[in-house]
Formats: sequence, C-alpha cells, structure tokens
Amino acid sequence: MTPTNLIDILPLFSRPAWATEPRGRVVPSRILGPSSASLGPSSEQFPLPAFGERVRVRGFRVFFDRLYSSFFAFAFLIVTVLAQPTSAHTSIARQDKLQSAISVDNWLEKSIEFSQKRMVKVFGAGAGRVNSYATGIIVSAEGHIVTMQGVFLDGDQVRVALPDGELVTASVLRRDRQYQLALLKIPNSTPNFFELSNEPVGEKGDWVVALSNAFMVAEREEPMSATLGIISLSTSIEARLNKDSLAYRGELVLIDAITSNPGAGGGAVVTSDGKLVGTIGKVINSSETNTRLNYAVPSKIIRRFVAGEPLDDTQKTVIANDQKPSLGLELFKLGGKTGPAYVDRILANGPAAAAGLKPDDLIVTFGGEKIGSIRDYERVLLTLAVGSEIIVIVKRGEELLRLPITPVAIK
Amino acid sequence: MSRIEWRLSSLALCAAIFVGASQCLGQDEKTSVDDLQAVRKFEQARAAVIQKVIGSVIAIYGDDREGGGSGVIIDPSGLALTNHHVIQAAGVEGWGGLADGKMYRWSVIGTDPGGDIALIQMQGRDAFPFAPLADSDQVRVGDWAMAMGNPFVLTEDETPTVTLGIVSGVNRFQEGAGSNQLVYGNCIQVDSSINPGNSGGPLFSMRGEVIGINGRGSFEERGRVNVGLGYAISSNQIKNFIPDLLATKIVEHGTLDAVFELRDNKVVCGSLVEQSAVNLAGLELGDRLVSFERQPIRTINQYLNLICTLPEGWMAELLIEKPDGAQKKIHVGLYGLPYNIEMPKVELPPEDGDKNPPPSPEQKRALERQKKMIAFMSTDPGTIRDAVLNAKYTNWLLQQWRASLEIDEVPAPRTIHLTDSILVADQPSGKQESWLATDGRFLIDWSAGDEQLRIGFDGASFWRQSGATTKQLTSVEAKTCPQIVQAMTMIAAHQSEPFAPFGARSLDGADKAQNQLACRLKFVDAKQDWFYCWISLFDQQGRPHVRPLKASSELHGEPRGATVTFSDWASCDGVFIAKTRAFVSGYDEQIKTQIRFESCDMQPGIDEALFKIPTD
Repeated sequence: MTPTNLIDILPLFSRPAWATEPRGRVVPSRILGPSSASLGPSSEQFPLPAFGERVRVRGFRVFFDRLYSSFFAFAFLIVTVLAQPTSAHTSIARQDKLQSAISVDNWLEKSIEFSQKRMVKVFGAGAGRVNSYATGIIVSAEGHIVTMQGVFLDGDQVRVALPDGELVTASVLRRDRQYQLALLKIPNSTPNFFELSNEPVGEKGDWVVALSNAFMVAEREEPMSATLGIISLSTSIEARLNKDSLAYRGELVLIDAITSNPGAGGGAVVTSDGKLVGTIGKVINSSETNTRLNYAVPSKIIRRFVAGEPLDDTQKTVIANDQKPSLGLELFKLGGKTGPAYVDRILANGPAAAAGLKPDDLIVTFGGEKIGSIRDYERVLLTLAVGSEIIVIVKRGEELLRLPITPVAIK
Repeated sequence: MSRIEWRLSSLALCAAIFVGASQCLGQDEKTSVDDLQAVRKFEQARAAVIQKVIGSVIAIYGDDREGGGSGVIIDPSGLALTNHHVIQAAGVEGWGGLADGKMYRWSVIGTDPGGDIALIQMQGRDAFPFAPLADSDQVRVGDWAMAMGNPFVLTEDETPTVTLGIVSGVNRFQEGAGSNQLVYGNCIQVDSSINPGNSGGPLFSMRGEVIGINGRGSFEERGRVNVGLGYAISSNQIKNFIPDLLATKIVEHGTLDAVFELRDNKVVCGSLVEQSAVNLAGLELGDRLVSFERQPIRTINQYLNLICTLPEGWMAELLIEKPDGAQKKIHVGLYGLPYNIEMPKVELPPEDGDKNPPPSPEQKRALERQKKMIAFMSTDPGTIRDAVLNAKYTNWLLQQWRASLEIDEVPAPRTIHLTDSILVADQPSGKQESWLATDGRFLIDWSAGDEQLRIGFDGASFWRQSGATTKQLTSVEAKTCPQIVQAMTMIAAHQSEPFAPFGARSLDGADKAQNQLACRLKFVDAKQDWFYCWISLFDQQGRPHVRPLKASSELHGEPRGATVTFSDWASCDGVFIAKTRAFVSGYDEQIKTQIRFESCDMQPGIDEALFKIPTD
C-alpha cells in the first residue's frame, strides 16, 4: 500500500470525546484510538521509517520505495556514499552474532541488564517547551558522566538519579557545542562504567539495543526503556540540508531503533555483548520532511570529548581572503548556470587531475554541500580554504566516486 | 522542490539505489549457509507462532463502520478483549473481522474504564480460534513481543498487521486521562510499532500467548504515530478484572482512600480519609507502608502499580510500620474510584412540520446507537448490568468447572466413599467418613475429640444427629455447618443445579481466595440469605482452570459462618476430589481444622436408604 492510500484512509478515523490531554507527567503518553485526523494532509507528514530494515536486502527496497518522494533522499544519498567501507569481517563472528540473536540464551536481556547498571537519569532546569531531563552514561570509576549538551544544564543544579535510585547533585565539568555533549561529575565512585573504545564498535547489520529515559517513562531506580535495532550505517554526516537544523556534524552511527525522542539524548547504544557503540545524540530533525535521524555519537568521539581533545572538523568554512581557490577543472557551461555540473576539461597537474577526476564526471557534492547546478558549484568553490583537503563526490557512468581533493590558489 | 533539484535528486536516487543494491549484494555473498539457516529457522518459528495465533485477532468496527480498533479472542466460546476506549468510540455492538475474512457480530459484556479494558462476546461460530492469556509477571525486558491488530484500519481482508519488537520496560506506570480513567498501571512498554487502530489488539510473546492488550503510546507533537514507545495493559491485570467483566459490570478500580508519599526513601502515608476502612483498620498519617499484597514497597510507583491492577472490593493485605517501629498487618476491602464518564450528547433534530424534515434512517440509527451506549454507560459501576447475560456467564463458568474436573455431561450416578483424618492445630484429632452421591445427597460420620456427629442430606432436607437426638436443619443452620459446606462443594459440579438448596446463583465478581484470584459465585435463597463459592479461573501458569477454592455463607470469613477451603484436587477412580480441606476463619483464612485425605473408593449407583433421615 502506498502512502497515498494511507492518507486516504485516515480521515475515516473519528476523534472520540475522550481524546483530551492527560494531566500530570511532563511528556505524557497518549491513548491510541480509533482516532485521529492529526496525521495531516500531506505525505510529507507521514514519517519515513527508521533507517534500514532488519532484513537488509528487502529493507533497502522498502526503504527506497518510501523514500521516493522525499527530499531527504538527497541527504541519504550523501550519507550512503560517504560511508566508510566496512572492514573485512569473518563469517564466523557474524554467525555467532546471528546465533546469539535467536538463541534461547537471551543476550538481549543480559546486554540490557549490563547497561542499566551504567546509566543514569539527568535532571536539570526546564523552560517552556525545553525538556528538563536527559539520559546519561557513566564513563569512569570516579563518576564521570556523559550526557547530551543542552540548555537544561544551565540551571543552578543538575541532579542525577543513579541506577539504584539514589539522587545526587552533579557538577558540570564541560559542555561542548561541537560535540553536543556535556561531561558531568558526581561525588560517587562506582565499579560499573562503560569503557570508551578508541576503535569503531559494531558494524553494519549488527544488533544493537538503545537504552534511554525517553519521555521520562522511568522514575528513580526504574530501569531505562530498551529498544532493539541494527546498525544501519557508520558514517559521517556532512550533508547539510539546512545548516542550522543539524545539531551535530561528524562521525555517527545510524541505527534503525527509534531513538530521536525527548529525553533520550545521552542514552546508550550497546552491542549484543554490552559494548558501547555510542551515545544517543541530540535530535537531528529535517524541517522539510519532519523526520528525524536515529543515530549514536560513536564511542571514540565520546572518548575524545572526555579527554578534552577538539573535534576534528573537516568542514572548512573559512574563506581565504586573498586567495581564490581552484580545483583545476572546467565545467560544461553550455547549458547556462542552472545546468548540472558536468566536468568538461581537467587542467593538467591541477588538483582535479591529482584526485582522478575525468571529463564527463557529474559533480554531486563537494565540501559537504549538495551541488545542484553550476551556480552551486561556483558558490561553494568560493568558500573553500586553499590547501585543505575536502571530499568531492562525482557520478561517473553508473558509479558514484568519493574522491579527496585539495584546492589550490589561482595563480 | 524546484525542477533542477528534482532532476538531481532523482539522479542521486538512482545512484543511491545502485550503490545500496551493490552493497547489499556484497553483504549477501559473505553470508554463509549456516547464517541463512539460522535466520530461516528463527523466521520459521516466528511464522509458525503467527499462524497459530493470527486467527484470534479481531479487527473491531462499530455499526457506523467509522474508524476501527483491534481485539483478541481468549476463549473458544468467543470471549474477547479490547480497549474500553475502543468500545466507547465504536458502541456497545458491532462487527469484528477475523483472519478467515469473515465478519462476526460482537456485543459488549462488561467494561473497565479505569484500566481501559472491555470484555466482548463474538457470535456466530461454535468454536472460535483463541489465544491464551500469559502470566505477564514472567515477561522480561528484552523479550521479543509481537503486536497484532489493525493499525490505520489498513486491512481489507480482515487479516491483522503484525509488528515485531522487544519489551522495552515492565512495571511502567502511565497516568490516566479524565477522572480515574485509562490509567496504565504496571503496564508493559514495547518498541513494536503501535499506531492508532492497534488499540485493543494483543501483544504476543513468542510462545503465542497474550501478554498484554495494546492501547497507548508516547507520541511527539508531529502526529499520533509510533515513535518506539507503546504500552500494553498486562494480562495479569486483565485477569483480575475478568470475573467482574463476566458479571457484566462496569468495573471500578480499587483505592485505599489513602495517599502515600516518599519521605527519606520510605513510602509513608501522607494523607488519608478519616474514618475510611483503612483508617479504621489501623492506618494513620505517617505510617510507613512496608508491603502491599505481600510485595515489598520501596517507591510510590511500585505501590501505584499494584493497586492499579486491583478491582473495587478486593481484600488487600497491607503491612504497615508505626513511627515507633511496630509492624501491623491490615486487611481492608478496596473502595471504588469513581468515574465521571462523559456521555455522548444525543441531539434529536426537532420535528416541527415542514421546517425540519424528519430524521433520515441513518440519523435514526445513529441515535439508537447513542442511546444504547448511554444506557450501557449509565449502569451504576460495580453492579450487575444484565442479569440474563450474567446467568449465561455463570453457566459458562459452571461448564468450565465441570470440564476442569472431567465430569461427563450426563454423569453416571455414583457414590464416593471417603475416609479422612481430622487435624486440629496440626495434631490428629479424629476421623471423618463420608458418602457423597453425585446427585447431591451425602452422609458424614464425624468423630473428632469428644464430638460424635452424623450429618446428612436426603435430597430435600439437611439433618444432624448428635448422641441420640436427630434434628432437621434449617437452611441457615445448614450453610453455617462446615461439614455440610464441605460435602456440598465437593460434589457441586456433578449436579446441573449446584448448591440448589442455597438459592439462585449469579456471578458476583472478582475476589481473592487462598491468596489467589477467584470468581465469586453468589447464591441467594428465598429469605435473601447469601451463600458464596469462590472458584479459580486460571492456574499458576495462567491457563484456564476452574476449581472451587472456598465456600462460605460469609463474605469475609466471619466466625459466625462456616468457611471451608479446598485444595489438592486429584482424581480418585475418575472422580476429582479435594484431598485437603480446611475449616478457616477471617480474611487471611486462618486454619481451625484441617481434613486430610486417607482413602476413597467409588461405588456405582446411589443407595437411597443410606441417606435417609434416621428415625428414632
């Protein structure tokens, strides 16, 4: 059934009289109904599925079917092609994982239990529609906690509910806009904390459990909510649909468990053996499709943040004042400025030649920007810093190529 | 989206599909045969479970066919569960579509607005496919959970939609809406996709048992669609309400008339209604709640989760601690939490001649539906709404009772000859010999301590012989004689009209007996004297299992009556008897006298002379 049919059916629902706002909780759950017209009139409002599906081959097809009319396709394309090829893996390891996923010896339960002991509920100050709570992970025996960066940490007091329900006051050691993470410290020491791996944890297709206090469902010592998914992709997000809507840029792990929920930020994404893949990041929302990305900030990034290192920023947005950058290529300009950015000529010994670009390549993105036309290309080119390597993605025949290229100054 | 963007994104899409597909193919090549077999095995097991239970899932529609919800059949007779908010929207009757593609009529039996559960009756088939209710206390976070139902009223051929996920949390508490309505206490949280229309549908374990009824989710502002947090009412809570629902009640949830709060990590009574039952029983402000229903209490939610799952009238057990440290056990009947139910407004278009045309047939039908709904919801909570329906389900329970004791439809007349030992304070103190005829007559020789009694029933009157005197007993005397209560209950199910001498029967509702859930049957005679029999509905594994647990003329085991408990039912020559019986008193069934099985033999036929009243 296509989304169009779906929307046709929805008006059949009637909104019963009981559908009033419940009292009480901060973000209450709602009674489902034979209800309601609020799904909206256009297919844009029907959310995309989470990235990927459990049965991969079919999943992709389903995914693209639903994706088709969406502008989000472009972001996905970029995310897809930027994907680092996953390292070779042994079939035996995968088989073990599969077996454990279906065996009676329930790894899910074990992994969840292991993680619950290493997670906290963080309470700060709320204002208006801003949530006053988040989730946190314990990352050291001395009581260091990593949670989501947010205005809720601005208040006088940040309190943390430990796994056993004890409520303690935490001090905010560091907050970082780039990482979108915050480092807290509680006076308690604990033997239970997550090891922060310097290597990528988990690979595409691995089962993961995401744990968080989304919607503040749990109180005090009540356990976090657990949702199951797989790693859809480990990638870096350079696509910028709208620069300001992305809370976080850099490496991330896309998962197909739904985690983009209030209060879930700072939650744990763990593998079947309880290893921390990463922490649930701040909500990344597409204002155009009203869809959200479900992702984790990888363990190694958290490690770098905790160590106080700056986040690698491959995005160079500084405009070199006196040097005009060049890629050493010329575009096919007969179609005018609105035409697609096809490469017409490669200058000998230029950056494009070094990068391996060829005539007739179609430039799809570079510098993290979508290139829809020659005009886009020229605009983005001006923002590049001479001497800093960027990634250019070109379409050659039926292939998409991801090539590093370093702009030089025009002599 | 501009033209060029569109062109580009289409292009990009093609490219992405290519890249995606090639990546997928690449992955597949690395997948070993063993991998695939393991996956296939799991999928086959899952598909088998789905096939097993899919027939029990209902797509529920009202007669107006606007919108829809879901439901699940839990008994071959067509008893089914859905949400209260589904019948509130759909009406008191309607159509239910099953996976066989056929539509069946359904009508509501009873409803629980507080817990958002309604019991309905499907009609039109001798035996419906059904799914059993699981023991939801066994559900663990991380268990697979399958939701089935009719989200967005998608189905065209009535086959349900299946969504798979895991249990995200247990013992969740979600506050209600309106006054005391739609509270999800002690509920199961899942990440299986639950969307509008899934309401009332079952949440299955991978064993194909119903662990809950889906009805609620956490949503964002962007619309009422799944964001990975759904909630299901636990099957164990539902079980607590089924006796009241079968009795055709609008059930209220129980309250203690006391509010507890957390002080210094202790759950302490913060306010309470003066002179309420719990206050009179000994709870005062500042008392700590140590345990409730034998569960230790550490947080407010724990207490709320427990009390939320109990109906009005339930005899709750509390252990409280006074500020000086003294502990006290309290038994108190729960009061009902009142509802303030919003009634649909009935607006009859005025018929005044030519100005307003008379209502159309559709309008008239809609009016009828609304009137029925109002009549239904106007029933006083906690009362039997429909005596005829109640009698139907009382008979249904008796049938289950007979089936559970493997009694033939037309039982052959037999006499059970039983020898028991009598224990007082665990010390042997005598012997009981009894002859129980399957037509209801009995004779008991009771010899305990100095007491020598002969008690009998000849089919018309009860008598008692003590020493040389024989006396005919009145009905009140009979139902306050523990030996008679014992004998009558043992053979009750063999008769078409059990406990007939004690009056007309009805299903009174949910209660507790031997510290487990029970249906309470009530017998009222011509003099308005009461007699009760408590029967179980489910066994420890949550399977339907109807056995007498207790019988008494008194509701709470008051000492003036005779209260007898029955346990260890076992077959003796093909006839089931309770091998352990006890004369008890009080809420907590303190044992006064215990009767233990020694031997028995079965005699075909009934010797009428044996049961005759002895004449001096």
